Amino acid sequence: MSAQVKQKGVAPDRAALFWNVLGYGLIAVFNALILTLIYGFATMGNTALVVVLGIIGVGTTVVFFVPRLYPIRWMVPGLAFVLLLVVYPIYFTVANSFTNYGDGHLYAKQQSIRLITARKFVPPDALSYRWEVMQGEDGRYALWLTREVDGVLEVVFAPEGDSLRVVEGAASADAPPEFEGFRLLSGGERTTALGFIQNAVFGEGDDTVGIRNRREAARPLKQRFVYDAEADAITDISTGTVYVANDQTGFFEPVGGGEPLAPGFIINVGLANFARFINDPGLRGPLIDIFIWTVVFAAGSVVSTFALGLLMALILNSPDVIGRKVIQSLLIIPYAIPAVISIMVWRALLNDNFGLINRTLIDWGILTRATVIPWLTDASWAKISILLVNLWLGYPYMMLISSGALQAIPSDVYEAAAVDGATPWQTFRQITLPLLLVTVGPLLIASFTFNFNNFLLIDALTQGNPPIPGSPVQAGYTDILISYTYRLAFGNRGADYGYASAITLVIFAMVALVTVFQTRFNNQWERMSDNA
Amino acid sequence: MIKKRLLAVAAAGALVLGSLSSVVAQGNTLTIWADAERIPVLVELADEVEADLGITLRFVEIGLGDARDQLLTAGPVGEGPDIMITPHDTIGQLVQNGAIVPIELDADLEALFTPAALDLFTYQDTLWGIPYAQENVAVIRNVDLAPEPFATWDDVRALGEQLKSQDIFAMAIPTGNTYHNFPVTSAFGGYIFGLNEDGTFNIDDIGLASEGGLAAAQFLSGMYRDGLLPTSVNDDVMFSLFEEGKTASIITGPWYSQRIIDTGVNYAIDRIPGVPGVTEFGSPFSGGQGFVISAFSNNQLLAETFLLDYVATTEFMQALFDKGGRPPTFVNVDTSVNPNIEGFVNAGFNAIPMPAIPQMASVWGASDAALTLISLGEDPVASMETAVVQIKNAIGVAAELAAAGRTITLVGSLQSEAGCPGDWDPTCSVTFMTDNGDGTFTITVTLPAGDYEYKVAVNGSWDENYGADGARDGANIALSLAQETEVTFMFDDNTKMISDSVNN
Repeated sequence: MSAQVKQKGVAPDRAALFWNVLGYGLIAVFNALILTLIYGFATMGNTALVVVLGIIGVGTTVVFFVPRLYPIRWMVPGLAFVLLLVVYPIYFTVANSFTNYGDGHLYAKQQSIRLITARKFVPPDALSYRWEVMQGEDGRYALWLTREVDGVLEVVFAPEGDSLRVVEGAASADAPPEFEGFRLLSGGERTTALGFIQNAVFGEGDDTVGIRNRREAARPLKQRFVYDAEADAITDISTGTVYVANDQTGFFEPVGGGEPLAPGFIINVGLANFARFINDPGLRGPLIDIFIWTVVFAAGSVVSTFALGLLMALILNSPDVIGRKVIQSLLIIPYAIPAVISIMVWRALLNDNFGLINRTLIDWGILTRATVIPWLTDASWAKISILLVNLWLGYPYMMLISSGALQAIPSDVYEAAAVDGATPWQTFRQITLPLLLVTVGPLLIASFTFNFNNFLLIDALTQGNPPIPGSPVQAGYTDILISYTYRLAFGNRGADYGYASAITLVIFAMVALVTVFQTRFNNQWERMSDNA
Repeated sequence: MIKKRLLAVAAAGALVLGSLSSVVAQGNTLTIWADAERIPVLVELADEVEADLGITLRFVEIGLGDARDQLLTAGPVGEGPDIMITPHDTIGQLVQNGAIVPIELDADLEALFTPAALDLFTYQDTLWGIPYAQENVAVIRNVDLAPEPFATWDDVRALGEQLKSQDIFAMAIPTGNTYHNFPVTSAFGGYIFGLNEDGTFNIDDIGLASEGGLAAAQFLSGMYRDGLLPTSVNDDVMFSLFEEGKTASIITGPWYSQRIIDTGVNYAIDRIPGVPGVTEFGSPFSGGQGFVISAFSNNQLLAETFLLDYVATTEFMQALFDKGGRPPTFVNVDTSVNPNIEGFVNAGFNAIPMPAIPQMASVWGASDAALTLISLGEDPVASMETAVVQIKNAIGVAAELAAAGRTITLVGSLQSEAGCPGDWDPTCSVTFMTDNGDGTFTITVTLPAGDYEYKVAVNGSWDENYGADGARDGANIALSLAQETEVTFMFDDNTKMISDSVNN
């Protein structure tokens, strides 16, 4: 309402002014927040996210202030989320696939150096004291150190940035409430101090004290690892070993061999992850079989669910069916129940020896205990079980989209067919199906890609079992590409993000190829329907 | 219309604000990640701690199994906890990633813990956490069906044969589950990783296909074949069999303490049966949970104070036990309220700490698959040997990645003939072997007739070298050539086996 007023050039009324001011205010707040986030991520060294946030901030502001871009305003939140949640992750995956990012190499070099050089050690000849913390008026901290040497109390006062001093004639080990302008801290003040003093050095020159743990301080407490930027090496002060950064392995490695320092750092490994995927013993083993089963599974799921769903839709489309609203609602139930729960139930039902299905069949005398159907433990039966469970999970969706599409087919073509004397099968084959596929074709392709990567079903129902005997890498007969490669990248060893990213890209390429192929196929249907 | 626009901006702002609040560092706050069962106990402690120390405790619920991965993701960007609860077998991976810091115990405090519990959280001679629970599986026996404890696995078999006609099993064990089947493996003398002389795990020595490991596999295979051990068993099936009196015993742990009681069966908790001449009792794995301090925390000294002065106390450990029912790690926690605990502790007297090394991650899947195959009637020996190959492949590939750029030199009396300045020189780049990318290295050289000896050396030094039969520091390999020959040498870095085109 008020926006129209503004566009006509009429002086804005009070309400419009109010909303405008509020709008500018919010944009200012929004940008302030973006800037804070940018600052945060910049300090973490995440350049890519800084760029994305920058684009979002600048873009939003420009769109807001340029009247010509007014229509785009409505898309801004959507575009921002696309950038943040779709474009950035894709970039992140591609970038990762060329690195060794993963367990042992989780951090940039700087952060690894920070973690390593934070470690301390107590030299063998160090003295050990009990400590209390005091604070001067200028905010400086000091430690009140006590220890017993042969039954004699020794007290040392250790201020920050000043030399250590022996306190003569102290009556007891307890720190005094005040000492030379320094106040003894307790409670919350002491707690606050802990964060500041845990890494502080007290004393000066060679004679220093550091806090070792909540009770003890060591004189001296030394930084164990020192980084030399020029040599790009870390020296272990306690042993003298020098660890040189190896940009080929992403580790600081000791000169002359031995265990590298943990943690390592992220390096660019070029195409090594892809090469590793190709050279992985897994590829020489079951990968071909798994790929074939993946395609069979995805295609089989689409065909079976679509066939059953369409059948149901056709039946329920007929006005003669009594109570079809009720039946339709009941048939949708499998779709309404969360898939994980359905799968868990099916898993229990299909258990070979103790599942309800086999038990019932035994009770009815169809099977004996010795001839139970190995639903989940035989390679072929397990595949059938998976397709059946997926049929159960998937047909309501197909039924829904099919009944929608059936409504959209104009009734005059059916009348024409009836006039021409077409049989019901001919009508279905030559009119209903082609016209239906035009509408639901893209959805079938989407269903195929979804099932191609249907990790949840496999993981929850069989976990890929039964295992393939003699496989060089652990794999199961019902593993599909995504469940198999997930195990390859994560299951067999900790997280290996770089490798996983490379595998993801390879699978993405495969799915993309299949989709392109299918789209072509679908276009043929469309041409056919044009002729119809 | 403008209202809508403002709503959109406001929504975006609120979203950003939300994420911002977690980025901004908290002041005098300790953030603790714990699982749902532990948080209520910690919350009860919070008032006292907050009053004493003047801090705020912030609790975030994270499942035990997720804590490690979450810390490794959130920690580096400053969103991790100061303290978290984690199972002991994550310690190796956390240390490998530099994500936690060591904890020093005072002697008086150390005396309050059972040594076995501290062992669980000790990695590379350093203590990395404060354990609060230690657990292992035991045999839960239906006293009405099996009046006497099983002394040996043969007893289990004998009872099974006796009860078979009544459709009752002597024992039910979760199928294809390495953790629950390990007591069988260990009773027959099998193991997961062998030990080096210094007590660390030797990842090249995988004991699933050792003599004992194969004996256990064969025993299980025979039990399955003769219908004496039920297949396709999971926890639910196992408990329903037990409840219905269809099995005389099960193998499970104290986390199901209440479930055992709820079956209503008249039961006893026993040690793991042994094998005469091999072991008196089988060993279950021992595992534990404990508190660790994040290396990314800005408040490590405060976190340590909280853990050692408030958590590592008899009162708190007692409260954790009363709530969670897991066997405590403190010697003076009173467990009498839970009659099962004594039985589980007794059964764990010879428990073996579950290896906490990162390579353990490669074991589970392969070993589970082998056990599943055995339950399906596949050959036990072949199944276990396959598992070992799979584990070695998984570890080998990981090791290869860690050692990318590792150089292998063919060394020996043939080096000068191959063009090196001298013989037995690991630094000579002329005889560096070519990395095939799959852990194998090859080199082809043409040698005049004569008798030679050779080995391979790693990274240009003698520190790591391999000889005959893939043995480290092993014997020289002899090579006799009657005429000038082009010889291809191959070294497999996974198995350390060396071969050449003349001898093999």
